[in-house]
Amino acid sequence: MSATVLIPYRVLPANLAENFRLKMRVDFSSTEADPGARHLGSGEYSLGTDSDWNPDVHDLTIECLLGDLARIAPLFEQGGIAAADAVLLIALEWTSQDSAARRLGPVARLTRSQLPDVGLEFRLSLTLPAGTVRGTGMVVVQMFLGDPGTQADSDLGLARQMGLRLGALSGRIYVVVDGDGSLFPVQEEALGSEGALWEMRIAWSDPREEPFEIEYVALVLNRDHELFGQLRDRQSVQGRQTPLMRHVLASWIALLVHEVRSELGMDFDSIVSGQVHAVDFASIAEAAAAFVRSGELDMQSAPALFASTQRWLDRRAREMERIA
Amino acid sequence: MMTYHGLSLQPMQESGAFLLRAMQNDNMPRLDLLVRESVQNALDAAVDQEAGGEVQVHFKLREHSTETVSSLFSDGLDSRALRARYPSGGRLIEIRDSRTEGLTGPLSFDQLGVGASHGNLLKLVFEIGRTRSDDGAGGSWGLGKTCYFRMGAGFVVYYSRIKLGDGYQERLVASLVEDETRSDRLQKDSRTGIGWWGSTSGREPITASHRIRRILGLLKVVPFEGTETGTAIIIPFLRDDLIAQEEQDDTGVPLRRPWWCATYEAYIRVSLERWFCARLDNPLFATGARLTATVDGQFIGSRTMLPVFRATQALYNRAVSGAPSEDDYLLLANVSADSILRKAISPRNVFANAGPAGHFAAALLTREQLGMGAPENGPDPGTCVLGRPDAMPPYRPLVTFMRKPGMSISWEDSTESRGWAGGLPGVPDGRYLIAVFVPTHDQILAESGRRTSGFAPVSLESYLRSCERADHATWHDINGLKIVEKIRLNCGKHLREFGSRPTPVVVVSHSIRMARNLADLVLPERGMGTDGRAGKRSAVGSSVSGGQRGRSGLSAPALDVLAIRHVKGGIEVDWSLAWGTADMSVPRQITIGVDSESGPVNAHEWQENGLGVFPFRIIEGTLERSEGGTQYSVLLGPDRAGGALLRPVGGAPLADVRGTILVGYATDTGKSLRAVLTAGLALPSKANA
Repeated sequence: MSATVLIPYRVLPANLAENFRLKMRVDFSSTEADPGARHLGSGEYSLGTDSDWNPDVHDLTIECLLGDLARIAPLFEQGGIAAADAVLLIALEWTSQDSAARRLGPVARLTRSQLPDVGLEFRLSLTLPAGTVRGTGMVVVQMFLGDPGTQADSDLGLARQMGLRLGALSGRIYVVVDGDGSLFPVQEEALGSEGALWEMRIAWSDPREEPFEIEYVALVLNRDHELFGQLRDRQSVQGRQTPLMRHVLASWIALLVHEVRSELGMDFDSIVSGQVHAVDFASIAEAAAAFVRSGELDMQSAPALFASTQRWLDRRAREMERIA
Repeated sequence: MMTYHGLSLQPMQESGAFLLRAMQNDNMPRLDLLVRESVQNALDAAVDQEAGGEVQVHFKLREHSTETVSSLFSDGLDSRALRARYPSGGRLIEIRDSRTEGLTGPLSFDQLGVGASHGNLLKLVFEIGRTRSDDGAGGSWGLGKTCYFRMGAGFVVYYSRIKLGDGYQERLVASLVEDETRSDRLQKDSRTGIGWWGSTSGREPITASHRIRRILGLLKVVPFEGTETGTAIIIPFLRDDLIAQEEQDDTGVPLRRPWWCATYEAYIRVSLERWFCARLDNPLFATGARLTATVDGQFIGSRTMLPVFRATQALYNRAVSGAPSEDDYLLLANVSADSILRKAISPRNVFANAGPAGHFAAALLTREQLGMGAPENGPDPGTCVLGRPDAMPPYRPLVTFMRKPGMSISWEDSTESRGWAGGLPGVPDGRYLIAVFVPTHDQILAESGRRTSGFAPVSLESYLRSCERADHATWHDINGLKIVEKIRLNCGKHLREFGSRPTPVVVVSHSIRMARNLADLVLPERGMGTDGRAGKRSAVGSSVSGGQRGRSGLSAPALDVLAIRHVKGGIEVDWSLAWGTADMSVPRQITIGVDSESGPVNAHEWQENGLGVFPFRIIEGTLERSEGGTQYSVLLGPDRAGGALLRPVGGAPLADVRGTILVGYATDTGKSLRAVLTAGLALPSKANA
């Protein structure tokens, strides 16, 4: 079956010619935390780089600065999509199948009489409340008919009903909230001032079957411990860890590898050597194997494992600092 | 009055003693088992299975004489033994459902054709272990019904009125299941302890209304009248121990029993709330008719339920709809927004398609919000749902979960790390945590979640039903699968965070930056998490079609729109159809539909959904005359809403056909809707061709 959509009035084509597209600059912000937006090219933005922003608890505001509006003057001309005296409305529209949501920002009015103003700019914004954004979403500048104008009747191809959708005036911007980016299973808890600085929390039944996620295995840091403040260095460059944090992390990774290897025995060695691909997602066992491979960890004995893990993390820290 | 038929002993034959043990649930008070089983059966048989309808269940209790039962069951019953056991009569319970289809189907196995449905009557009265085939059914009528025999001496009278053809039929049959090894058994000559009473053979229900009315009169059961259909279960000689026995504390002092343990009537009322609060008097119940219930004529309204059950109903409504209802209890009780949580539960690698396994909603409630303060001084949630108080804070979390019928499978207060509350030991500030999980019943399991590769698609509802035992009191994963476990762990993770967070924003935000930065240090960029900072692989660019593809290899017909002209009253479309190589002699059809987010809606679907006149019609269709070769005829559908049919006239069809159709607006609505032209094979089933 093949299908073609017919629209009872002229609209902007899906592949709008470049000379009609508005130039837009996109910014992301949030009331409480910088969303950590990063442009990945081809209109794709990711969120979360070196950021506390969390879609469950933080809102997300997308702002677009539109320029070059004079380009769209032909839209009001013969064969265009609106009569010369029509009013068009433009707004940012967010659509996301993953979030099961479609949302419009406040609209701006646009008439032909505004267009000769070369300095004309529009600032459109859209705020997505906390807990409503998931997966991937798409943002476009969507155009609607505000008022058909008095001259619309002379052209049967023009929309006449207020609110009708006339198409996207901009290219698509993809916003990636959830992807397959790796996360380390770490969490902070109040375990009391007498509690240990850190713990390994294990809740797996089979490390080959369960994902490397916080609900199955976690590095738990004790917020009440006197050394907790030394685990983080907020003034540091992105990703730099304090010496204490590096030490905690090395111990935790070594312990994880030790635990998984003790449980799986030879099976774990097969996973490390890549002979067995347990499941189609990153299991705890695969994460442990990845540590062994990346760090060339020495599993001959527990002391050798702990020492080689520390050496690996020291190397990684130096590499990260060089990159930064 | 009724004729007896005793079940003879045969190889592999069940006995009364076996059936009385079959339910395998001795930890739940029997009256709870009875309420769960009888209401589930009523819900399964509801005439109106859609949301917005109603199904009624009425519980009535009254005294009866031993003589009444003795006279009804005189054939085959040892009346002396009955009088010796019950010298001063007993109490009976009548459980009457209406707006249900009743005990339908064949009257006996003799009327049953090969492969035919056994019907409600045979399954409920004469069979053991036969399950219902529909996934959404609550009860299976397999073993659950055996709880009826455990409520009294083992007698059960079944009275039903069903719709039959243009009229109605009444049916009445009775059975007795007793331990055949008892010395004072009531069927002296039976070696199985199982017998039925009915029409002359004893193996069929009585259907003569005058006989049925006489029996009902003795039992003081009001007949169904008018257009009413339904079923009444009557159980005489109720036992005295159907509710939990009095318990003592560590020092031997009897624990104070809640008020509803004083009478069976009060207990049934609370039991209905305990197990069916999501559906009871809830017009927003999402997967079936709302349940209307009375006990001795007293209606159980959602507003009169115990606070914990009102809160549970509100949480159910929020879980399924995402928003509070107008009379949402949590709003009425001023529960703050940050004390309420709703989450989609999305375990990995479980389903064939995207979408959650279900939603859960949870709330943190104070004593006052649960009606425990003055002047109500109501019981604590633990007493209401589990029958035992949670004396000391922090109070254990209470979680319930349900399938499509809306019956709470169980109430869990486990604090184990792999439990529904994820090891949350209790809420730190003296509040109570109540949570409800509602599965997305039509989610299809991924192939790895099916028992056999290539097996028919299995819905989550069907899977969960298969995870229940006869008493439907828990979900156990089928061996080798971990679907329930993944759902439970996922819920537990969220509940643990929700119930234990003193300042949730701070905890989460600090950790997530660290989770990202530590991952950057020691993990591969992708593949070990769900974060978006690395972008989504293949999210962009994969949908680019590449424009015009070569059509020569296409097997299906493909339509191209060459030009569109907006004309008065419609759209004129120049099109080109690549005939395709599939079934070349079969005519091709261009169908018109209305574009929607879930795909084109054709004229038939439009009218079936009661949307009125289909907004488009094909006014004219013409073909471009080809030079030599095959000619085609174009035929417009009879109502011109379906589409146009293209038929080759003589010779083999060409690779391409071109033409013009004029799509007119049949209504003003059409002027603002998007039409979809679809090309395909004109198969015979297409009524609109």
